[in-house]
Amino acid sequence: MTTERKPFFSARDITKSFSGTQALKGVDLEVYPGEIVGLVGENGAGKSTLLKIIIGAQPPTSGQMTLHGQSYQPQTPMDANANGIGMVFQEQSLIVNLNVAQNIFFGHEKEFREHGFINWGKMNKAAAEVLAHIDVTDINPRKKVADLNFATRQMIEIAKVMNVTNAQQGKNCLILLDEPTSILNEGEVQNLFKQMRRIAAQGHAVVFVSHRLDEVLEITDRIYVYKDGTSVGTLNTAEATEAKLYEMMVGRPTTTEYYHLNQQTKPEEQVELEVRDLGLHGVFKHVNFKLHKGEVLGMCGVIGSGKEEICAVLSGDELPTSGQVFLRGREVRFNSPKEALEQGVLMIPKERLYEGVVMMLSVEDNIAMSNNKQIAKGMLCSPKAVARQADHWIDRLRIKTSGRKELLMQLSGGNQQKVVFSRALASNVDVLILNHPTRGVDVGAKEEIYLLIREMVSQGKSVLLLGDTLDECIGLSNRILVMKDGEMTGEFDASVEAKPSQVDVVSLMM
Amino acid sequence: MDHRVDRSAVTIADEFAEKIRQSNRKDRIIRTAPLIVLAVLIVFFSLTAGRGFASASNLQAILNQLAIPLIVAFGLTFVILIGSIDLSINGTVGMAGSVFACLVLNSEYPGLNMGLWGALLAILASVVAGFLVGIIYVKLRIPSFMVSFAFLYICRGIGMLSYQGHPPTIRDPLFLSLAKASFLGIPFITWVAIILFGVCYFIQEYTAFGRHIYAVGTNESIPRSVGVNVGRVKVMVFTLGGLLFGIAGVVGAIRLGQGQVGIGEGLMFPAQAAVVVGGTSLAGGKGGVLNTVVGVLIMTVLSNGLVLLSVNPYIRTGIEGVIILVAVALTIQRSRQAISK
Amino acid sequence: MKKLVALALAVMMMLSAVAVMAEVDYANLKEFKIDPAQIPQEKKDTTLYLGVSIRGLENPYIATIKVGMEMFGKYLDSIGQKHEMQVLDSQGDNDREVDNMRQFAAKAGGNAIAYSDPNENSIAYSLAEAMAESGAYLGTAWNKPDDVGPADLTPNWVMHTSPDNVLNGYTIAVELFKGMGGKGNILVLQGMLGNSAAINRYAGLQKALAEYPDIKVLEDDTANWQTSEALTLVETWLSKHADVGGIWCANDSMGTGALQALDAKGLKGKVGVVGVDANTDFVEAIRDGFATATMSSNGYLQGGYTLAVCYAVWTGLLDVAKFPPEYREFATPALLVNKDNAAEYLSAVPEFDFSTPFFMKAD
Repeated sequence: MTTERKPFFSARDITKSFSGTQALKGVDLEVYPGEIVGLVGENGAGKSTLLKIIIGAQPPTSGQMTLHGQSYQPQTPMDANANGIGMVFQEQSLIVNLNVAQNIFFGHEKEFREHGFINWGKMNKAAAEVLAHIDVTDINPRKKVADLNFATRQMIEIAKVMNVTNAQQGKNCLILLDEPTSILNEGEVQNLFKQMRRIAAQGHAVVFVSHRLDEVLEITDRIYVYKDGTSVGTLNTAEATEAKLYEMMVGRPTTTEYYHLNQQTKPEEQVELEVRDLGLHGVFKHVNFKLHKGEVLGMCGVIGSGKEEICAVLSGDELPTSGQVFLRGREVRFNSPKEALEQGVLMIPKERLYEGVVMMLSVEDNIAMSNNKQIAKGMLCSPKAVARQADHWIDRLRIKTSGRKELLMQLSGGNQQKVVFSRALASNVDVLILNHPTRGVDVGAKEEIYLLIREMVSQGKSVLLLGDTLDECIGLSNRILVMKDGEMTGEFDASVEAKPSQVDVVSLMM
Repeated sequence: MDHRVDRSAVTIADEFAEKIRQSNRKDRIIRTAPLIVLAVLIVFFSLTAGRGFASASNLQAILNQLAIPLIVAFGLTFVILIGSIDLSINGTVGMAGSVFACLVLNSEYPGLNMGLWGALLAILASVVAGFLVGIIYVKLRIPSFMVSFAFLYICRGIGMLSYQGHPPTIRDPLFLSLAKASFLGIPFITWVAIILFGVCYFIQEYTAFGRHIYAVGTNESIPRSVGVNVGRVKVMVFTLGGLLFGIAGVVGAIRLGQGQVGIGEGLMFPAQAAVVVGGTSLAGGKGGVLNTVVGVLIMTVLSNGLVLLSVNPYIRTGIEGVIILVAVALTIQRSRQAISK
Repeated sequence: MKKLVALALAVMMMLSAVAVMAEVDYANLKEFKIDPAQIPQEKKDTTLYLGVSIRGLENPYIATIKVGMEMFGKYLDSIGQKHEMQVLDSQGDNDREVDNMRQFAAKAGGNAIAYSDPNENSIAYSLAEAMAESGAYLGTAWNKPDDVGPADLTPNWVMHTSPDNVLNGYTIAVELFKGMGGKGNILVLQGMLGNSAAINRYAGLQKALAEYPDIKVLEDDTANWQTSEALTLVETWLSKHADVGGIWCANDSMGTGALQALDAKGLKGKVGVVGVDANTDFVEAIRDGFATATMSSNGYLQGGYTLAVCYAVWTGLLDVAKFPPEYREFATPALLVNKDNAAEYLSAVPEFDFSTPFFMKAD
């Protein structure tokens, strides 16, 4: 349906690397006038990064962009705006203590200046016009944004972007929407879609990023699928199905040796941790699961599905607002991570650098940090005991270090992570919550960490795993739980002989 | 097996929306807290301090005592709105007051008789100090508390140098008469504060600069992304602060009839407390000069009332501190996690 | 032959020096006079560093201390002593004052003498110690703990002096009460609570109140030595009390604030005000009949004579170890300034003879 026309915007082979890691390995995007394009892919596939490059918030490392047949190299979002490209960011960018009109025309107040003073009446009128343009007539432009609900704020964000496009006088504009529906309810989503169609009908184009495939299928004309920073293909929405998209989004499963599947053991019957109808108001609810002794339980879900917050609750970082947690059959309530640790539950956090280790301390001190009490005699902590413990773990986990006195900051990411693990093991906990244990770790170290997880489990420890990739989560786990929009949407057996496919899991995540 | 979330039931998104509505409601209640605190203090002191508190004469005293804290707190409000802090206040106010008294007809330098020009020059000195704090903070990327702390000493030094240990007594009949002048029963110096309130409120609400102040305090990257010169906004805020502190210094010298750096002593922390008690967030982006008026009223009524009650001086300061703490606790929105989006 | 003459001369000089030294009557140091002829030429040719350590020049009293040092400097010029002067400004910071002192003494290689008004009682010993490290000499004034004194650090902590604050507080109170005809209501503005000068002056007030039973205290609070705080307090009090006869202020700066509050009410000149320090503007107010009395602590005398005593010690004319205890710690004279002598006090430039250093000791 769009084949007759020429794309007015194109991005070719865009790459982007941040200090060593490649976020984009070469993605393409073409946009035709009057169409709504969907961008789908797992977390980390590169959708948001591409949008930030198009809007000029970040420069690409390499690649070409053209707009209306000319080279397009925005240095700032203002450049992009001046060229008719606007974006509604995932994080809202309204200033809540200003009113609606002031937000819509923020940075463009000069246009309303008369005799040195701003004509606020004129600005309010203009704001009402912009809002009317997108069918919003029930918002008073004088109202403070802080007093509006989130759906309304979203409409104002769109109005703000539309104001940019109105200034283009007939030229085709490009509106980028990054996850605009994640906080909207059904009715609000429909209203948003109506506006998107309206914008498209005026000859402008919309790029729509969402984790919700049903919405993408409903609203878009064409869909790009990204995976691991590359474009894997594009489909006309008419020909797309959820199954097809899932298929394209997930990668090939890795070989069985990589996850040491031969060492995957069967969990015991005994339940270590049980969660009944757990909820955190406004974040997740009705969460039920059992974690057995010697089991790896993988938890899958996109960002914002609530899985991170479940970990925060279980490790004592936050208090649940409903439901119960049982540890070895006894109900527990952790007011702090310290309490959780005392009862045998420890989380290895995702942000290792900020939460997990102290970079300026030595390896031995880092290891001794959480079990000082155990190796201390009374008030005193013998340096010998600290050293003995450190040597033990350096040897057991094959931590590559010049010695136990080396500062942690001098170790590689993988070895730092091993130190974190040894601390967890030294503190003798029964339940470990591993939040992205292989993030920022090279391939070799990853494999060792997998092996370590296998060893721990075979010794009777239980692991709740938030994998860095879906593949990793499926490969390591005995069982998989799937979360979506704060609720559990599925559970899979993941024993060696019955690993679920990534497509099966993804279809419940999005 | 289709476990898709049924959107018709109460979803997490609905729960989240409810949570936001609740926090907005709470926010609205909290917004009225400073007024309630003020009302409680007024009722309490009217009942306990007898005729003294509600008398015309004490009202006059309160109006007199309001002026300087108000002017200072207006300047600080803008600085706090952008999420910065200015610790130079005691110095800049003291400097402006001292320099002013030296430049008008006075006891120490009888040769200098610049009249209104003296007042303007003294205020200009403070404006320059504020501008320098801003520009050093922005260009050299030194935290504002550090830069302004340095200027506290610099300005105090200039102030002391200006009169060399012998505070000049103002002899200029115009300025001497202003200390006692009043119009419609309101003292002249209080009129200055009232007019400055009007100016500040206008700047805050009806100029692009005022709107940009809120944006910079909320999230710098938002104004930056639409081309607002954030550094310039910050420098202007500190310069405006300098202007107001300078005026406060001149007004202070007129009130004392004398120029000395002591005019500025002990102004900064009460002003900061007043701004916060009034409901302006130290994190920036929230509040404003109207809140500050309420905050300064609370602080002034509180100390005035306690003095009238003849509370033992050894415990008066302590009581003042406790009440400030209670007022702040009532006005600050506390949540474990900031709600974003 | 030449050698013999030189030897004879040397012996004579030594003998005469010993003879002169022996003449010092330590029991009656008040009579001691610096004889420039007895000061060895090598001492005179050594640059002596003079210092006064103060809180900052914000207050006129403190400024007079600096002037006292300059007066003493002129005296040193007159006897041919090489010297340099320095003002050590602590800005009200204990650590800074001690550091200043240490650097000052070290820079001078021990050839330094100083006057200090310690920022707080607790640092008096540390200041003396900082000077002693380089062998320099210090005289302190006003603040020191009761249980520590110059005797703990002989010879470098030469002495400690203090105007009698109880007497000051008492004297101005009596002046105020007399002016009120011995009866009526007063307001009291104390200094910074906990400060020893404030406590002692307040004690003097209490003593006077005991002698004047018809004087009633209406209000009693602190204005922290500050003019603006005093103005605010008195303004508030005056809205509560109509029958105020007098205001007792622990210093003149607060007195200035009280006068300003009275002026706004049209009461200036009708209500007595007293203070301590003899600030110029306050003495002028006394001369003009608006204020009642103040005490001159005489910073010229404190600063100049403290340095003079230390100078006599540095030159070797005096031996601190031989000082009787009453010459190590003593009170300095203060002068009552009231309507009778205010005009004279303002016009007269004080002149001092620094060759009799213990002139500064009150009897």
